[in-house]
Amino acid sequence: MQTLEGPEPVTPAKLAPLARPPLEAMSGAIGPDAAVKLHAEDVSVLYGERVAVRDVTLDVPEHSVMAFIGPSGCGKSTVLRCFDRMNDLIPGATVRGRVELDGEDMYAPSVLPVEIRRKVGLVFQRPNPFPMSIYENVAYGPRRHGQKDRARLDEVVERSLRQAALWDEVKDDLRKKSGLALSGGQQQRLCIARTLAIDPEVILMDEPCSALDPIATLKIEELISQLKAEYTILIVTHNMQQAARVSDRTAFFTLGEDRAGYLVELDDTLKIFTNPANQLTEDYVSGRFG
Amino acid sequence: MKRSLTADRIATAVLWAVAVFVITVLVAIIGYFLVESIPTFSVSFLFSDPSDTAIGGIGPVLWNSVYLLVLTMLFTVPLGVLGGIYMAEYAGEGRLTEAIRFSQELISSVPSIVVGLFGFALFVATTGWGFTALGGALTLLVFNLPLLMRLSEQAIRAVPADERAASLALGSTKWQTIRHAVLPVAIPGIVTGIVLTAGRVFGEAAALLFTAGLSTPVHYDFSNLNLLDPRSPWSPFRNATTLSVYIWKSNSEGLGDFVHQVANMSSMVLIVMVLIFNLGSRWLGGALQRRISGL
Amino acid sequence: MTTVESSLSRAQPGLRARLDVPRRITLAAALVVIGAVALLLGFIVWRGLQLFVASGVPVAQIFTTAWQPDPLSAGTNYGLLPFIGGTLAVMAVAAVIATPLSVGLALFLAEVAPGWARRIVQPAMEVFVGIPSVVYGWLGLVVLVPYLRTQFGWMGFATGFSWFAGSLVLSLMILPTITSISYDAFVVVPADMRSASLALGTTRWQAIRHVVLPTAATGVATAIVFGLMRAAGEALAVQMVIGNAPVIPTSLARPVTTLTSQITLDMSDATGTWNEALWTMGLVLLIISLTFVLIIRRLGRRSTPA
Repeated sequence: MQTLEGPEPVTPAKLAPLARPPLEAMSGAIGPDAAVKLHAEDVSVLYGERVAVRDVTLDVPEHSVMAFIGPSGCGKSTVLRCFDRMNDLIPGATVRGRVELDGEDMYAPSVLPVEIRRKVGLVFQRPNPFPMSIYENVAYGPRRHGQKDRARLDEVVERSLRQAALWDEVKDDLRKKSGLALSGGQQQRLCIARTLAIDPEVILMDEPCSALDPIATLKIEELISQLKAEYTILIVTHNMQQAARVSDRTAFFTLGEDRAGYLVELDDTLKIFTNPANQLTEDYVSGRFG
Repeated sequence: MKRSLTADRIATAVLWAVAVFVITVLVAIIGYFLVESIPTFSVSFLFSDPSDTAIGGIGPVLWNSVYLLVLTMLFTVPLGVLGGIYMAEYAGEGRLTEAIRFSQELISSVPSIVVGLFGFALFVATTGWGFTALGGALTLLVFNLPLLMRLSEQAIRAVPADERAASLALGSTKWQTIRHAVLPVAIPGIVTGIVLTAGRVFGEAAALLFTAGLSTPVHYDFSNLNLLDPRSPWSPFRNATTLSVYIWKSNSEGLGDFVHQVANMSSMVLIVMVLIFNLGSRWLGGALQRRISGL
Repeated sequence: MTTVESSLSRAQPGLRARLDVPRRITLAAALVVIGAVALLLGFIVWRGLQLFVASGVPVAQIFTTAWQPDPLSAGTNYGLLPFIGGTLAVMAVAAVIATPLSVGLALFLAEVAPGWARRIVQPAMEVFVGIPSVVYGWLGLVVLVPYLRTQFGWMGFATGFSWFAGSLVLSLMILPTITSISYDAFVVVPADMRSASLALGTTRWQAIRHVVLPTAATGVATAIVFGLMRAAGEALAVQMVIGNAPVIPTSLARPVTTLTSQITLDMSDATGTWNEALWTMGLVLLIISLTFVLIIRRLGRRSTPA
């Protein structure tokens, strides 16, 4: 198996066993006519005076998976968090430009971050279940959003855990076992289930597998492929195999001369990994870039 | 949705209101003493003798506070710092360590009036000294020692492991390492601890009522250097009513106009002193830190 | 290091290492604490039991309500219930007043306050801690008590000296204690717990209410117990405003008394059995604080499961 850490060249030969559809078929699936779920235009993020990421413009088609790759510090997580307004929580951080969800300005004064975050879920880098039972973890979001009906909650919890492929492993001690007592991979799936339970339209994943072992990683990746049918998924990863395996489109970010991150190239995943337009992308995906 | 947003706004407003309220109370307390004492305050109040007929001064009781502070710290500092070194560097996991820790916790939780009773039983009655500065200081030692021990221990534990490892790698013994590598780095923390502990001595009264005594000294003759003469202000074997105890006494002795005024001004002096100790400890710790890391 | 020392250590490395003088010296210093506790417990327990041992007062008598200690009057009775009841009552009401304020302030500092507000409130808390208890007492005596008497006389505050005055003064004194310990409990709740809640679209208050508070519950409980412990043991400030009436507390507006204030008041004059009863009060106080220490230890174990 390949290592999970660090860039390693991805060749068409390596991609072959994953039984990807040919390039034409893939781009057809998410061609120009697919609805745009998320849209960013000239988005820059500043921490105080410092520009962390500049001028990012991109579209995320509905029901697709887009991967953000690039060297660490290039601002891919920062861009990701623009899409659910989690950057609002960092003191001194400002987001410039326009970010849209279904064509609506996410940062309009009348829009509350709380509303956005109910439609756009976020799975964190390190699994962070609440110190409560598995059941309460998953029911947390629905409860906060006013769901009091026991039967409905039971239903949501079961559905979310099934979607996150965790149900069979935990169904016997849902209410007894703490979310913290699960293994790392199970915890991350619990966090995904917790996000699914609020019925989001978009799921953001910030390096969701970086703290997990290869087997747990594989499970999450399978999960992502299944969730694509219903959700739009954005995933930040430092693992290029992962990007290649799970995503339809890939955005490559890097760090400019001015120490600000920027978007170098965005294209169909297969194209990025086999025939990128930009030399920087080529260097990175072929492993010539540290 | 709407309800939870409203709840969020209300809760945020309530938390702000709590903070504003508490700060207002504090400002009001300090303001009260400032307003009450400034009109009659003069520097001579700090140094002159008390009087039964006019405002007079708090010279002797202020002297006693300082005297008791020095005497207490004379015992507390070496024992507290050495004990802290033991707890940070030598103490293992055993029953002895557990017993020391439990004792520390216990003493810190015993009401100061009970510590005062204990001081009375041991240093006043059993020794036959009567009410003395020494008895008061030893009583204060009892409840300041665990505090300083803990603060020193924390300061020493905060020293990075590399400092230790580097010294031990050079073949130094454990004590040499502690003495030359660990303590110099821990000094700012320890000094902060010492000053904080000292501040407590200034404010304490309940533990001193039955140990250092309650009688108001009238006049001190500082030229009397005979340490065994109970009339000498330098002697540890004498009644030593401190400023805090003096304020408490004001409430039992009728509320004449000037008694009232003296207590207000004394309170102000006490607050200022304690503030100086608190701010001073932070400043001194910071200054030492800069000095040491600069070297 | 001097040459003498180094030659010594070369000559007899084993002996020096075995003796390990610094270890022994520092250990001796640490043992002083154990010695002090042993002596303190010994003296307080011994003197506290004299009421029963030397004067033959039946133990059951301290659980009665009549306090008639004066040996010159006919029929003495050493009922300590008014003092124990007063201590618990004053302590409880103080905690009821101080807890919401302190926990609110701790939440403000940990969750809500912008940097500038924290830079004001945190030093202010240190000033609060620093103000000596006699100063609080004095303030209560010259400001609070007259205020209660003149403004709230119609509510039964005949003199102003009252259970309520005692509790109010105490609540100010335990406020910084509860605040700082609960603040510590809030800040150790991992930041990503809050983010997780917010990322699910909850408001900040929902995150506080349903994640931060439950996670920090044990720490907040510990903070309250510390506050109670301090309130039970505080002497002078309470004594100055409480009115010192040895009755079972029934009205917040009426004078009551506590163990600490009675000891403070009577210790210098009382002799004989009366004096012994004061020591018994000290013993009761010691038992109360010991109970609190044990509760805190138990809570501490619960917050850090093995």
